[in-house]
Amino acid sequence: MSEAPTKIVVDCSTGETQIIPLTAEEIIEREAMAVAYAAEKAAEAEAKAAADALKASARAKLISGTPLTEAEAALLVI
Amino acid sequence: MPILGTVASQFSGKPFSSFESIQTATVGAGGTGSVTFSSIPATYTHLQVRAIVKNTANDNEGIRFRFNGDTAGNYSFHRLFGDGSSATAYGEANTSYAGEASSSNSPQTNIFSAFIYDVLDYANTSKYKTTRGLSGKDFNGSGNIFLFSGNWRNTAAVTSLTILPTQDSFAQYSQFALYGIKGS
Repeated sequence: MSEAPTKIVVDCSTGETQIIPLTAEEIIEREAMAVAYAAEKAAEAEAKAAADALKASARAKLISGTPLTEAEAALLVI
Repeated sequence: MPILGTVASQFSGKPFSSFESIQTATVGAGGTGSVTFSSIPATYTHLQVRAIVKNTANDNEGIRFRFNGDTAGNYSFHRLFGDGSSATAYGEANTSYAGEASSSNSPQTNIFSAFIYDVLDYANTSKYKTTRGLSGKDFNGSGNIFLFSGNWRNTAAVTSLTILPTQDSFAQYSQFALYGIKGS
Protein backbone atom coordinates (compact mmCIF):
# COMPACT_ATOMS: atom_id res chain seq x y z
CA MET A 1 0.00 0.00 0.00
CA SER A 2 1.43 3.38 -1.00
CA GLU A 3 1.73 6.20 1.48
CA ALA A 4 -0.94 8.89 1.57
CA PRO A 5 0.10 11.97 -0.40
CA THR A 6 1.11 14.94 1.67
CA LYS A 7 1.46 18.69 1.33
CA ILE A 8 4.07 21.08 2.64
CA VAL A 9 2.82 24.18 4.44
CA VAL A 10 5.34 26.86 5.34
CA ASP A 11 4.13 29.50 7.81
CA CYS A 12 5.93 32.66 6.76
CA SER A 13 5.23 34.37 10.09
CA THR A 14 6.96 31.70 12.16
CA GLY A 15 9.15 29.86 9.67
CA GLU A 16 7.52 26.60 10.75
CA THR A 17 7.21 23.94 8.05
CA GLN A 18 4.55 21.27 8.35
CA ILE A 19 4.06 18.13 6.28
CA ILE A 20 0.35 17.31 6.34
CA PRO A 21 -1.59 14.48 4.66
CA LEU A 22 -3.89 15.68 1.88
CA THR A 23 -7.57 15.66 2.75
CA ALA A 24 -10.00 13.39 0.92
CA GLU A 25 -11.33 16.45 -0.93
CA GLU A 26 -7.84 17.47 -1.99
CA ILE A 27 -7.11 13.98 -3.28
CA ILE A 28 -10.32 13.94 -5.31
CA GLU A 29 -9.59 17.40 -6.69
CA ARG A 30 -6.03 16.42 -7.55
CA GLU A 31 -7.22 13.31 -9.42
CA ALA A 32 -9.76 15.38 -11.35
CA MET A 33 -7.09 17.92 -12.21
CA ALA A 34 -4.82 15.18 -13.56
CA VAL A 35 -7.60 13.86 -15.82
CA ALA A 36 -8.47 17.37 -17.02
CA TYR A 37 -4.84 18.24 -17.65
CA ALA A 38 -4.26 15.07 -19.69
CA ALA A 39 -7.31 15.96 -21.80
CA GLU A 40 -6.08 19.52 -22.18
CA LYS A 41 -2.63 18.36 -23.30
CA ALA A 42 -4.16 15.87 -25.76
CA ALA A 43 -6.37 18.58 -27.26
CA GLU A 44 -3.41 20.92 -27.48
CA ALA A 45 -1.29 18.25 -29.23
CA GLU A 46 -4.14 17.57 -31.64
CA ALA A 47 -4.50 21.25 -32.47
CA LYS A 48 -0.76 21.59 -32.96
CA ALA A 49 -0.67 18.56 -35.30
CA ALA A 50 -3.54 20.00 -37.33
CA ALA A 51 -1.81 23.39 -37.57
CA ASP A 52 1.48 21.75 -38.56
CA ALA A 53 -0.29 19.76 -41.29
CA LEU A 54 -2.03 22.88 -42.56
CA LYS A 55 1.26 24.75 -42.59
CA ALA A 56 2.99 21.97 -44.53
CA SER A 57 0.16 21.90 -47.04
CA ALA A 58 0.26 25.68 -47.45
CA ARG A 59 4.03 25.62 -47.91
CA ALA A 60 3.79 22.92 -50.60
CA LYS A 61 1.07 24.85 -52.43
CA LEU A 62 3.11 28.04 -52.36
CA ILE A 63 6.07 26.23 -53.89
CA SER A 64 3.97 24.57 -56.57
CA GLY A 65 1.90 27.67 -57.29
CA THR A 66 -1.38 26.03 -56.30
CA PRO A 67 -4.06 28.29 -54.78
CA LEU A 68 -4.28 28.16 -50.98
CA THR A 69 -7.44 27.42 -49.08
CA GLU A 70 -8.74 30.15 -46.78
CA ALA A 71 -7.55 28.22 -43.72
CA GLU A 72 -4.06 27.86 -45.18
CA ALA A 73 -3.90 31.54 -46.05
CA ALA A 74 -5.11 32.51 -42.59
CA LEU A 75 -2.36 30.43 -41.03
CA LEU A 76 0.34 32.15 -43.07
CA VAL A 77 -0.98 35.72 -43.05
CA ILE A 78 -1.95 37.06 -39.64
CA MET B 1 23.87 63.96 -15.57
CA PRO B 2 24.93 62.30 -12.32
CA ILE B 3 28.51 62.66 -11.24
CA LEU B 4 29.96 59.38 -10.10
CA GLY B 5 31.22 60.75 -6.80
CA THR B 6 27.85 62.33 -6.06
CA VAL B 7 26.02 59.09 -6.74
CA ALA B 8 28.46 57.09 -4.68
CA SER B 9 28.07 59.47 -1.77
CA GLN B 10 24.34 58.77 -1.67
CA PHE B 11 24.91 55.23 -0.41
CA SER B 12 24.57 55.17 3.33
CA GLY B 13 26.30 51.88 3.96
CA LYS B 14 23.01 50.15 4.74
CA PRO B 15 22.53 46.76 3.09
CA PHE B 16 20.67 46.84 -0.23
CA SER B 17 17.48 45.07 0.80
CA SER B 18 14.77 45.58 -1.82
CA PHE B 19 14.71 41.84 -2.57
CA GLU B 20 14.40 39.68 0.53
CA SER B 21 14.06 35.98 1.13
CA ILE B 22 10.82 35.20 2.99
CA GLN B 23 10.88 31.39 3.21
CA THR B 24 12.12 28.38 1.28
CA ALA B 25 10.60 24.90 1.03
CA THR B 26 12.58 21.86 -0.05
CA VAL B 27 10.76 18.64 -0.86
CA GLY B 28 11.91 15.61 1.08
CA ALA B 29 11.86 11.89 0.34
CA GLY B 30 8.46 10.72 -0.84
CA GLY B 31 7.63 13.97 -2.58
CA THR B 32 4.75 16.30 -1.85
CA GLY B 33 1.33 16.96 -3.34
CA SER B 34 1.64 20.73 -3.00
CA VAL B 35 3.62 23.51 -1.38
CA THR B 36 1.86 26.36 0.42
CA PHE B 37 3.39 29.52 1.80
CA SER B 38 0.93 30.77 4.42
CA SER B 39 0.76 33.93 6.57
CA ILE B 40 2.67 35.89 3.93
CA PRO B 41 3.48 39.33 5.37
CA ALA B 42 1.92 42.32 3.60
CA THR B 43 5.09 44.36 3.96
CA TYR B 44 6.37 44.02 0.40
CA THR B 45 5.17 45.42 -2.92
CA HIS B 46 5.51 42.25 -4.98
CA LEU B 47 6.16 38.56 -4.39
CA GLN B 48 8.41 36.33 -6.42
CA VAL B 49 8.84 32.57 -6.32
CA ARG B 50 11.99 31.04 -7.77
CA ALA B 51 11.98 27.27 -8.00
CA ILE B 52 13.65 24.20 -9.40
CA VAL B 53 11.16 21.41 -9.85
CA LYS B 54 10.75 17.80 -10.86
CA ASN B 55 7.47 15.90 -11.00
CA THR B 56 7.03 12.23 -10.13
CA ALA B 57 4.73 11.73 -13.14
CA ASN B 58 5.95 10.23 -16.41
CA ASP B 59 4.23 12.83 -18.56
CA ASN B 60 1.50 15.50 -18.51
CA GLU B 61 3.42 17.30 -15.81
CA GLY B 62 2.87 20.97 -15.10
CA ILE B 63 2.79 23.42 -12.23
CA ARG B 64 -0.11 25.60 -11.11
CA PHE B 65 -0.67 28.44 -8.67
CA ARG B 66 -3.49 29.44 -6.33
CA PHE B 67 -4.09 32.11 -3.71
CA ASN B 68 -5.67 32.13 -0.26
CA GLY B 69 -7.00 28.60 -0.67
CA ASP B 70 -9.43 29.65 -3.42
CA THR B 71 -10.16 26.58 -5.55
CA ALA B 72 -13.09 28.13 -7.44
CA GLY B 73 -13.08 29.38 -11.02
CA ASN B 74 -11.90 32.88 -10.15
CA TYR B 75 -8.68 32.75 -12.14
CA SER B 76 -7.61 33.00 -15.75
CA PHE B 77 -4.33 32.56 -17.54
CA HIS B 78 -2.55 32.59 -20.90
CA ARG B 79 0.66 30.94 -21.88
CA LEU B 80 3.03 30.84 -24.81
CA PHE B 81 4.74 27.52 -25.32
CA GLY B 82 7.84 26.82 -27.39
CA ASP B 83 9.73 23.59 -27.87
CA GLY B 84 12.53 24.70 -30.17
CA SER B 85 10.69 23.93 -33.39
CA SER B 86 7.25 25.45 -32.97
CA ALA B 87 5.28 27.75 -30.74
CA THR B 88 1.70 27.54 -29.56
CA ALA B 89 -0.52 29.71 -27.42
CA TYR B 90 -3.12 28.59 -24.91
CA GLY B 91 -5.41 30.21 -22.40
CA GLU B 92 -8.23 29.45 -19.97
CA ALA B 93 -10.90 31.68 -18.46
CA ASN B 94 -12.79 31.02 -15.22
CA THR B 95 -10.30 28.38 -14.20
CA SER B 96 -9.06 27.38 -10.75
CA TYR B 97 -5.43 28.46 -10.98
CA ALA B 98 -3.45 31.56 -11.96
CA GLY B 99 -0.76 30.42 -14.33
CA GLU B 100 0.86 27.25 -15.51
CA ALA B 101 4.58 26.51 -15.53
CA SER B 102 6.66 23.81 -17.13
CA SER B 103 7.97 20.93 -15.03
CA SER B 104 10.57 18.21 -15.40
CA ASN B 105 9.26 14.68 -15.00
CA SER B 106 10.07 11.28 -13.61
CA PRO B 107 12.00 9.77 -16.54
CA GLN B 108 14.50 12.65 -16.40
CA THR B 109 17.06 11.49 -13.88
CA ASN B 110 18.50 14.43 -11.98
CA ILE B 111 17.11 17.00 -14.46
CA PHE B 112 14.97 19.71 -12.90
CA SER B 113 12.99 22.47 -14.55
CA ALA B 114 13.05 26.06 -13.36
CA PHE B 115 10.48 28.80 -13.00
CA ILE B 116 10.21 32.37 -11.80
CA TYR B 117 6.74 33.55 -10.83
CA ASP B 118 5.77 37.11 -9.89
CA VAL B 119 2.65 38.15 -7.99
CA LEU B 120 2.34 41.87 -8.54
CA ASP B 121 0.96 44.29 -5.97
CA TYR B 122 -0.19 41.27 -3.97
CA ALA B 123 -1.24 43.20 -0.87
CA ASN B 124 -3.21 45.94 -2.67
CA THR B 125 -6.89 45.54 -1.77
CA SER B 126 -8.09 47.77 -4.63
CA LYS B 127 -6.98 45.49 -7.45
CA TYR B 128 -7.45 42.01 -8.78
CA LYS B 129 -4.13 40.21 -8.66
CA THR B 130 -1.92 39.96 -11.73
CA THR B 131 0.78 37.36 -12.17
CA ARG B 132 3.42 36.55 -14.71
CA GLY B 133 6.05 33.90 -15.03
CA LEU B 134 8.59 32.14 -17.13
CA SER B 135 9.69 28.55 -16.91
CA GLY B 136 11.60 25.98 -18.84
CA LYS B 137 13.18 22.58 -18.93
CA ASP B 138 15.92 21.13 -21.09
CA PHE B 139 16.44 17.42 -21.59
CA ASN B 140 19.46 17.62 -23.93
CA GLY B 141 17.53 17.07 -27.13
CA SER B 142 14.06 18.06 -26.07
CA GLY B 143 12.48 20.52 -23.70
CA ASN B 144 10.33 23.60 -23.69
CA ILE B 145 9.73 27.08 -22.39
CA PHE B 146 6.53 28.61 -21.05
CA LEU B 147 5.86 32.32 -20.80
CA PHE B 148 2.65 32.84 -18.87
CA SER B 149 0.42 35.40 -17.27
CA GLY B 150 -2.54 35.06 -14.96
CA ASN B 151 -5.17 36.86 -13.00
CA TRP B 152 -7.03 36.24 -9.76
CA ARG B 153 -10.31 38.09 -9.69
CA ASN B 154 -10.23 38.99 -6.03
CA THR B 155 -9.21 42.22 -4.31
CA ALA B 156 -8.12 40.52 -1.09
CA ALA B 157 -4.47 40.72 -0.15
CA VAL B 158 -2.64 37.52 -0.99
CA THR B 159 -1.74 35.90 2.32
CA SER B 160 -1.28 32.37 1.06
CA LEU B 161 0.22 30.98 -2.14
CA THR B 162 -0.14 27.33 -3.12
CA ILE B 163 1.94 25.68 -5.83
CA LEU B 164 0.69 22.35 -7.04
CA PRO B 165 1.55 19.81 -9.72
CA THR B 166 -0.98 19.02 -12.44
CA GLN B 167 -0.71 15.40 -11.38
CA ASP B 168 1.19 13.17 -8.97
CA SER B 169 3.72 14.95 -6.76
CA PHE B 170 6.70 17.23 -6.70
CA ALA B 171 9.77 15.01 -6.43
CA GLN B 172 12.41 15.04 -3.74
CA TYR B 173 14.91 17.91 -3.96
CA SER B 174 12.42 20.21 -5.68
CA GLN B 175 12.87 23.60 -4.08
CA PHE B 176 10.60 26.64 -3.85
CA ALA B 177 11.88 29.97 -2.58
CA LEU B 178 9.53 32.86 -1.83
CA TYR B 179 10.91 36.40 -1.99
CA GLY B 180 9.47 39.80 -1.21
CA ILE B 181 10.28 42.80 -3.36
CA LYS B 182 10.09 46.28 -1.88
CA GLY B 183 9.52 49.55 -3.73
CA SER B 184 8.02 50.28 -7.16
